[in-house]
Amino acid sequence: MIEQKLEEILLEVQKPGRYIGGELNSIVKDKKNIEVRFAFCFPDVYEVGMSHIGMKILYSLFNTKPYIWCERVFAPWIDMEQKMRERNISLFALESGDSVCDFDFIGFTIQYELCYTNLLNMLDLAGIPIRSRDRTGLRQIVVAGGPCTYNPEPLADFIDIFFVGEGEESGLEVIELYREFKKQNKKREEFLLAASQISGIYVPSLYEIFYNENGEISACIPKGDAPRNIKKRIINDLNHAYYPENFVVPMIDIVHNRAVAEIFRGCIRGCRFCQAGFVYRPVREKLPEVINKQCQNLCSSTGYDEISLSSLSSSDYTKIEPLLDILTKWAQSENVGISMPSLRVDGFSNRFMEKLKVVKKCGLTFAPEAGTQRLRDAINKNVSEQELLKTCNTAFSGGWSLVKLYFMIGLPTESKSDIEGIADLAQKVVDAYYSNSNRQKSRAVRVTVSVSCFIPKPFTPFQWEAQNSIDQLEQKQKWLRDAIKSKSRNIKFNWHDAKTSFLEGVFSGGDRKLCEVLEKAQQSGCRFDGWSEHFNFSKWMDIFNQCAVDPNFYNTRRRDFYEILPWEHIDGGIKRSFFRQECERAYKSETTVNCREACSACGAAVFGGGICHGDC
Amino acid sequence: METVRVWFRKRGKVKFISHLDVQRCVLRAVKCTKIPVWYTQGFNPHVFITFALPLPLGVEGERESFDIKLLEPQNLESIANAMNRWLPKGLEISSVGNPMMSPNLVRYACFSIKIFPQKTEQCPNLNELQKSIEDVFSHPNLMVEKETKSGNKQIDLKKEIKSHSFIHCKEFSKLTAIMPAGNERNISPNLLIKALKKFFFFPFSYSIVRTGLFTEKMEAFY
Repeated sequence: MIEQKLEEILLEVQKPGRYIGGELNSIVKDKKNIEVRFAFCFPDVYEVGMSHIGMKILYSLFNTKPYIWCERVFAPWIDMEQKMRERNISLFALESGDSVCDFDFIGFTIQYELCYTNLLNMLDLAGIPIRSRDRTGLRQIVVAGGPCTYNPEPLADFIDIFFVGEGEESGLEVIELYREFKKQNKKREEFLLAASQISGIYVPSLYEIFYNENGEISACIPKGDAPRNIKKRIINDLNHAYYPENFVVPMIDIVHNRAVAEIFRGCIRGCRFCQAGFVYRPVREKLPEVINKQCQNLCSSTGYDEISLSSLSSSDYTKIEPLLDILTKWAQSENVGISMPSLRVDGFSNRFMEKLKVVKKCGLTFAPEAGTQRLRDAINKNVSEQELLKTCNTAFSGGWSLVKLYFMIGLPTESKSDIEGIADLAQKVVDAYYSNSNRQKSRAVRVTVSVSCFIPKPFTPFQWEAQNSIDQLEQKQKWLRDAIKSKSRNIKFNWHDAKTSFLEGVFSGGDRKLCEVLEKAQQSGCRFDGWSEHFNFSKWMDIFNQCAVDPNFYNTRRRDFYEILPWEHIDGGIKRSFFRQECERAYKSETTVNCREACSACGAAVFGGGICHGDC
Repeated sequence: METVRVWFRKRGKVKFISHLDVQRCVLRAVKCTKIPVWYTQGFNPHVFITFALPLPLGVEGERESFDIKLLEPQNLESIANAMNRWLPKGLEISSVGNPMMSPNLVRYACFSIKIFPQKTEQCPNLNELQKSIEDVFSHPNLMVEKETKSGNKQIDLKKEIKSHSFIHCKEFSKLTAIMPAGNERNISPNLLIKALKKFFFFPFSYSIVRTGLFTEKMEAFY
């Protein structure tokens, strides 16, 4: 019956291919043999969610267990949601078409703060009570993982279980525990309590938060046996860790439609604004042979003709040249291209470029992040102007003429001259092109300057910093626009909306008082906030008002080093004292060496693996 | 080098993917089978493939085809089996053969359209349904607006439809229509649905299947 109703609405919505399932390598199991059903939800559209590597790994991993059936669920686009609500169609999983409300686990991966309303809306569309306290019985366990769970507090009232860190091991442990408890007919509360004993598991309902009169947190008290601190889980040995032999191959085009090989996790750099650079520590590399085998498996089971080598900073991979050597050996003859996102300025040598040329030639992207050396030192982005220009010259001689530069504005210690420095740097890149005699003469250079707004993120040295106000950010954007106008016409300027960055800042630094705001936002129809056409800032401000919550408390306020932060009970392995020391060094424009040059004793060695123990 | 014509069906929910999507699925399946096929020799080499005629989004196909070039002689039946392993649900190779006609000769397509009245207050009984459909076709003309790149145009479907017939069953009526198709003139079956929506007094659902392609002389394309 659902099938018939679905057919009818699919004829009327945009891109119906998002909702049909049946892709190559999607996994359909016989329900008779299944003890635990897991709905893996991505709170954004199909094209975005299907591009996410973490979901692919966990989907395949969970399905290796015969008793688990893990299926995929994505947020229906606005038009589809409307039709579904009109016709009373519940949110369904792509593999079985069954309603998500019938699942044992509803698992979300949370990649960015602006998808929080989508998460709540998906629960609502599935007919599942959005607050954890309203769900009963040993079923509909709502779990979440991903980078946003390092500050899980704004979602604390909705999620039963958070996975902190990498979920491969803890995911299976929690599912196994559930299977046992279900067999024994145990209660939901008993299960949650037992789950909280698993390392890397945070059950927010087992913690009570107390506040001071000024709104800051005075204490976070665990109930019963729940652990005081929740330490992130990581996989130490990536060479022997599970990696999928195939990917579900989408029929419609998606954002990243290619095979992806993870070459390492973590980052040796310690850019002070970057959460990923700290929460994924320590660096753990895979061996070239392991990566090569995984690439071959993926290509032969998907038919993809492109492999992307994925990591936080590809050129920091110690064995990049041997890897490219073995990959190109077969990739070329099989017409498979290799692409490398996340290149760093200093990692781009002549020899390296020769290899890349064999593979795929796309635009070059560099992230100097700041316009002046002083500010780059303050944020510990150890890239010099000289290096950047040298790299550009290498690239220009090699036939490239398209350069993208990423910057941030609103960084701590920033002044007007730092902003103008961005325009100057872009101009220097243009000048370098025209003074390079080996450039491709017939083509004009194109330099794209993309500017985002700094947001203080938990678990970074800048976690105590204040975010610039919207007015300040817009002022800085205007300065930059004016500065760029006076430069070459070959420079193109893109910038992020200050209002969305503001909201992102609120939630990334938020606490449990924001749960009510989120609930109200979902009820008032906020969704796809990360999509500019659906982001309604004034509606959000009204909701903050109605809930008597001041958003500025969370982002534009500089926090004292002694304040108890909302995420204080989560332990990412990096010491608080290290973050503070790094923050203080920033104000002295002092850089810190990367993990490969020397250990700065951040605390990540506690995990017992990776670069901290000489493993790469 | 041998050109072969691969016949396939597009049935079920996979009808909701576009022609370009089908093409991508087929190319990847060819790649997975590792059958040696000819690549174009340009700057970006890709598998050489040509489809007889794209199928509109939302329409199923019973007898669709594309041509590829084999570098070495192959057992044609095993090509079909090998490719089916790598295609998504609903896309299915039925046979592989040698092309007997150029796709340029295609002039008509046959569509089988099922019409299901929705269970509302206005839901017609069998006689009313039959009469509504026959009425539509007894009009001297059947004007409908066609959206084209150069603006909207009024066309008379009565003049376009080469022939049509009906079968009426308990739950639905089945309309078979032969309409212009190919690289000279193409009339989408969705235009016919648009016309029916304009004339019917009741809401209905529908499904469309393209059952075959024909030449000027109504010879089946093969």
